[in-house]
Amino acid sequence: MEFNELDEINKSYGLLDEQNYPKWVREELKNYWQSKHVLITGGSRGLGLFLTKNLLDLGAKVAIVARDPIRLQLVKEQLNSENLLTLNFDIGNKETIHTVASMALSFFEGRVDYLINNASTLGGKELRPLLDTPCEDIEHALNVNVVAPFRLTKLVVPAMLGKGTVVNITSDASVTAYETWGAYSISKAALDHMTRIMAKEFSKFNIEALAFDPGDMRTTLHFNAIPDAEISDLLHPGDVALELIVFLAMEKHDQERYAASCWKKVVKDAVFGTGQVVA
Amino acid sequence: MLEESREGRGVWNGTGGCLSYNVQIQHNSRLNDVGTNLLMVKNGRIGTASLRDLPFILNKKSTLVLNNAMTLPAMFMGKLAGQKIELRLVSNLNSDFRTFNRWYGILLDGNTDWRTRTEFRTVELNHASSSTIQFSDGCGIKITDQIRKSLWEVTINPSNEHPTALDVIFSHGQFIQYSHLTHELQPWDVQSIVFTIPAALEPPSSHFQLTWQLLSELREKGHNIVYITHGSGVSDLGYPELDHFLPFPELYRVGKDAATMLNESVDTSYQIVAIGTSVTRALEHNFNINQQFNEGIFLATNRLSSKNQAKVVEAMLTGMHLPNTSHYDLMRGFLPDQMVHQSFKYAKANNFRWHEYGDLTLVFNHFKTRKSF
Repeated sequence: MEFNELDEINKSYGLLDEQNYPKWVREELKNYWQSKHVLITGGSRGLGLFLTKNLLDLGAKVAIVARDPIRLQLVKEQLNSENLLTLNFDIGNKETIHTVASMALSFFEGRVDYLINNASTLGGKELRPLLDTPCEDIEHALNVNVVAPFRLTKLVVPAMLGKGTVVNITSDASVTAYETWGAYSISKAALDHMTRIMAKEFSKFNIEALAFDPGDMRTTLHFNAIPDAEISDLLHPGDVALELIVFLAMEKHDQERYAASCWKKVVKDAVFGTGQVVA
Repeated sequence: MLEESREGRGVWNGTGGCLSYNVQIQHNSRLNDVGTNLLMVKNGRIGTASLRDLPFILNKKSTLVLNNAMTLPAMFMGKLAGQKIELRLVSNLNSDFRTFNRWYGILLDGNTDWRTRTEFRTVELNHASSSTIQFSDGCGIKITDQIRKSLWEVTINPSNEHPTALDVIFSHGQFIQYSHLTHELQPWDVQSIVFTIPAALEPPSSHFQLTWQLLSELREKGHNIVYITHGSGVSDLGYPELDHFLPFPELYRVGKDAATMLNESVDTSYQIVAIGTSVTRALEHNFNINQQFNEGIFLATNRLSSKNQAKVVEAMLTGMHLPNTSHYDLMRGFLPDQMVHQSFKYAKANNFRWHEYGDLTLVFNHFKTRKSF
């Protein structure tokens, strides 16, 4: 299934586009995100790419990490912003994770507001029943989806002391046992629980940890898992990115893990209901 | 290969290396076995405690000042006029922590590596100015000037492949290694738990023993935690003609919040506890400007000693230091010479572990009385 995100990012998925959100929402979001420092893993595709695009539009300073150098260069050229730092690293490589943190912290001058652990892997190239899943696929999924966010969080939390948010992108597969999604599901369940523990332990430093299920999106990961997925059944990552940007700015978080239906309802009620959006 | 951890550190030579003064280096087996013994020197008395008891040892409300500098790679292996050379950055010449182009460096024989002590790796190079140390991928670092016989100014220029000097540093540099260790230090071995700004050439070793749990307990006991950034240079060069100039001037930054809290600490009689010699140097330099703490970026040019005693820092948590080192001399800024020597003898007799990843000393300022201000 073809879905060219780089073509999409300059279409209608910008917060500055009147058709997406009312003007007062956009103004409040600009006030909130202006000069915020955001580090995003997996920032060259899918949700990470649309978060990057919109946060830059809102005046945030964004550093993204991604493995594919050609793709990253294309993103850099297309977004063309001095507020963007692109880091070509494999987030699962422990040998270089300190370099990632160093470069990002230098770019942010030692202050990070949001770390969005978005990079993710299925574990293997295809979905298989657990008994057919190589142990290496489980290890790979745990490394990229759990250990890598853990490592990066450890390195970035000192730059968040006093106020900051760690966002871990999870999945409904972490709570629902879908057949053949074993490696991925196990790792996302672990990520959820790591988030809960982080939330408790980090609260004394006034740092939040939140896990978000974005819902099923038109992403490379999803099409790799289900090549014949019907695109119209899947959410556009640009829509999800906008909603997440609104939800984070509300700063009214009473859970450690948010199911897709839950946090999106909060956003819709706030934006299109009577409530105010941002703090 | 060492296990990864921000709390654990490298492995000492298991056979028990031997430094000068016949101090046996105690075996520090694994990363999570970093030293936590505390040599306490207070009110003319010397004793032993545990670092985990620090929240209770500090019976007076304290403001603890930490260094949030991140350690940079500082060793670069390359070729100079066909000769294998190691360039080691030793001092930061940039005016802030956002630029990484200009440094002082020394040159070492590249036919040997960090496993050989630096004093056996010195090289005579008198015509290196305007030369470029080439790396295998064609990138290079330019030697721009000769400052002293063995001290060079170097400039790190970005390239197409590496668009910033920091990129060049991380792409081609290695973290400084120590010949008394058996294993090469990995990235996670050289960073403290609180780093946020790439700034130091050697790790703030007094921070290795700190844990988040300890910092939380200190806060719960009502102590303050403040961070400054101190770009520590290299503490031992291997060139005797240069070593007596140490420490070189060092860049440090005090943020607005830190300056405010430090001044409030002075006003409210919180005792200021510096974590590490670098922080001590920066605080003393900063306060000495106008008898208060100042926000901004400064160059610490002071050198604490028996003739230049600490005036504002009331206690210093530092590593274990051997005589005839600049850090040992700094202890004399806190204690009479005789007591410094006695504490050294006490630590030696009680098998304290020396140097990075070893045990710690908590020394209370014998000379300081705040009334003097």
